[in-house]
Amino acid sequence: MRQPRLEDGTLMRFHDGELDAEDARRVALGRLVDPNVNVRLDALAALGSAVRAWAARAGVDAAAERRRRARAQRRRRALAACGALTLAAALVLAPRAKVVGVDTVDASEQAASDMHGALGSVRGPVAVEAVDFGVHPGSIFSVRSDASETTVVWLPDDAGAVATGPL
Amino acid sequence: MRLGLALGVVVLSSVTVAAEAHPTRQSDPPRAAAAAPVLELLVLYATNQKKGIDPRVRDLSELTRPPFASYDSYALLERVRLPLATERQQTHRLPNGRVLGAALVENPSDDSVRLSASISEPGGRAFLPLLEVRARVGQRFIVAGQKYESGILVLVLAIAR
Repeated sequence: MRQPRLEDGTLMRFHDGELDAEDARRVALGRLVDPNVNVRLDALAALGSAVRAWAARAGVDAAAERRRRARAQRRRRALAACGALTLAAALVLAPRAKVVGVDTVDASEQAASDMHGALGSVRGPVAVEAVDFGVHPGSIFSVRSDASETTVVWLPDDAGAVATGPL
Repeated sequence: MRLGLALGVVVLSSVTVAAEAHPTRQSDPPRAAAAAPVLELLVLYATNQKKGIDPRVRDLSELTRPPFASYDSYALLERVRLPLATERQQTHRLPNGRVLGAALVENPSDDSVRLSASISEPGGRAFLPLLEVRARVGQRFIVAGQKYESGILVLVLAIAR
């Protein structure tokens, strides 16, 4: 029987030991019947090694970083909830004002898009809707930096490419 | 939380004032048609030659984060603009001989597009058969990892108008 293709996210969680027993069993079965699953896991391992080596070299405390991000996420959620509540109240109290607000946003976005060299003028990850890595082991992840998040498609010629270099 | 409440009060006040300032507005002027989307491509060469990051791409903060921080030198090899069209795939030959192809899949709004990209070997065989993304104008993404000389290629892509 042919196994359904395992999602990249599932493999990442398997690699990080975060899958429940049933999903972990499904991945383990996939490794037995599909050699490509092992190749993809190797790529994730190489990527993880590179990140861990960088963290060690840069003196980054991963646990402290996770705690800091969790605190920041809680603050963002509270702010977003307040913002949404206020916007809802504004729309109810002054429905005509919605048009004015939208115009203002459009004008500023148009100005941004008119800038020469649009690289990086809009923050946030790009949505990957479909990907076919072919015969090469690839992975998709995002890189956070300051207030931005960038989608990265990593497709090395071989699974160990990330770990080469000074690590 | 206090910041959120303060922000809410400011937004509510400004929205109310704006509504009062334009009480009889009938219709909006038609917006100018957006220019055709263009794929901006930066081809970077990542190595460990201790040369640092090219000043022209120093604002790409991703390069200082893992896994890109595994390389200490980034050189800007090319900066290319490929006009996107639905009918025809635009191509660009990369320094390693492979060919990047890109085509517009859909143009759902002025500020976002769906595009498909692929990378082919010189012989025509696919290296990256398909990558389809939905991106807003100015939003960048990165395709990296291909071997090139003593390092790798890092392709930074974004949609422009």
